[in-house]
Amino acid sequence: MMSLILEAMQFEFMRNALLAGLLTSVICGIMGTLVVVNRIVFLSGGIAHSAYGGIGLAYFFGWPYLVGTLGFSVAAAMLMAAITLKARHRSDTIIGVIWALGMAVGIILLDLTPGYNVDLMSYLFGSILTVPQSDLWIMSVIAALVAVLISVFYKHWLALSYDEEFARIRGVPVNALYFSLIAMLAVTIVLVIQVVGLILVIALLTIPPYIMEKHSRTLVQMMIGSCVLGAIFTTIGLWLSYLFNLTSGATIILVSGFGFLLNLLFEWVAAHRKRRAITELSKFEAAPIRLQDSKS
Amino acid sequence: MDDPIIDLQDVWFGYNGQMILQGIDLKVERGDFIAMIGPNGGGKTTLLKVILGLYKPLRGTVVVKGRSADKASSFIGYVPQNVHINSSFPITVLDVVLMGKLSPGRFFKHDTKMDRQQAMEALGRMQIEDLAGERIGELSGGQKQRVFIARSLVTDPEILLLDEPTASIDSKGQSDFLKLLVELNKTITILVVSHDLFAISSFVKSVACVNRRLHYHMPATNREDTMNAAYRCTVEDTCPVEKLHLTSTKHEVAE
Repeated sequence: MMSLILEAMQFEFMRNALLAGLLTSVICGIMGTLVVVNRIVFLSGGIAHSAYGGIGLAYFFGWPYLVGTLGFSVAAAMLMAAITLKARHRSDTIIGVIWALGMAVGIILLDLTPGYNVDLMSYLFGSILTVPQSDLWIMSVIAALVAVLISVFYKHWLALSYDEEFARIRGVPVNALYFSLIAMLAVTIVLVIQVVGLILVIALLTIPPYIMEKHSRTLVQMMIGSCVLGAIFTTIGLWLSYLFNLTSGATIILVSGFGFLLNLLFEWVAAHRKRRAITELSKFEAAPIRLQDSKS
Repeated sequence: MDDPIIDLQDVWFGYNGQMILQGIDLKVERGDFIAMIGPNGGGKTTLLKVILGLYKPLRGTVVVKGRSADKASSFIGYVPQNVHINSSFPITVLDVVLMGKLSPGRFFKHDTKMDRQQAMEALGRMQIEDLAGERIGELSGGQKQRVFIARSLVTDPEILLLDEPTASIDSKGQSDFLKLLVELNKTITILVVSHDLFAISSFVKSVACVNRRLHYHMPATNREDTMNAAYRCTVEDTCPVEKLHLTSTKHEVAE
């Protein structure tokens, strides 16, 4: 086993893949926590998919790749943020529209660009095994920036996420914070997608934070826990994909999904035990259960 | 005589084509303790949010402490109606209360020891300091309510706006809580939205009835007067549940 791991780690592409996976886990663990507690998973999906429109723009006009994708998805993200702030109850529909339009624009523009044939599959699933050194540097910088921005304004992110209305009354610049959050999300999603693919980003944004939410007492615990959990998923997933010669991104996602199901099972068993314990207890003590004090 | 601490003149507000508040004129004197009653959907919560500066009136002016509402919200402590928002959110009771210490001038500062001390004091006042480290979602409705009141107290407010604060407290807790409000009222102007005028009427100094319009705002001299007034207020509305509820309270008084 050990020698197998050492053997795998001799390949530079495996080392890079592992590093890319770990960095993605950190970025997605922090941002995903904010995504999950603010219930903007759908919005994140919208940003991630509409970024494809940016790819189309970049190729069609011959712009640098990042100018097209970053520009387009930040613009789309700001539009979605404005809509969610204005009309929360209708926002999901409009995000769906932008989601679809963004992708369609991308595909049509690529059709119209002679000579280029960008593989949609690689955009969806990425190519974690071919990550160049330069991308690792970019990701390290993003991870550090995200960590700094979140910790400096931690109280404000917390207030915005927990009770936006009260934060507004206390004079917290809620709108500016919300737009910055979405912009930050757009930038990180676009940069990470080109390394590990869209589906893995969505998986790591949602699954580890979802599992950690119930087991954390504070937002920062949830962030750190999600980073660790994401790192575990990516490491196991990469290892399995190496052993069985499977697509890495998809394997990592399946491992995360397995963790998700395992967590559901544990929760179900725990809830079942608790219920049984209460029924047992009520047999011995005839005292009425006071609804007022029952924990919700 | 002082200027009123809250001064609303001809305030109109609405959304989705419905005019929720229609020409509200309300003056609240410093030190008052007002019960705001009225039917569901009559605009009580909306009126609080207008005073807080969260909603901008379509017409009319809102002046709080001599300035426009959006610049005065730091003087107001606010206890929202729904205490069950985000119950699965990973946040401790102490951190919820510390939200009250946020202010625009302290954007880069972290919580100080003093902030924590004040937060613990506020929790102590509500007799729940032992819950400081608990996750908010683990608390009962009544306990959550106390946390939100502690959060509003830690802002050191001059005005306290409470939206249905006794909704999730049992009746023993309610009278304790109302006594606490009377105590706070020695230094703080209080406006409390309530369904249950019967429980609150002997504690408050005045009663205002809001149903789209401000039907009246009068001192609560004796209970029967207030009850009658409340009855009159709800006869005009169209909400049968409310009518039933207040008719039965009136019935109790008559007995």
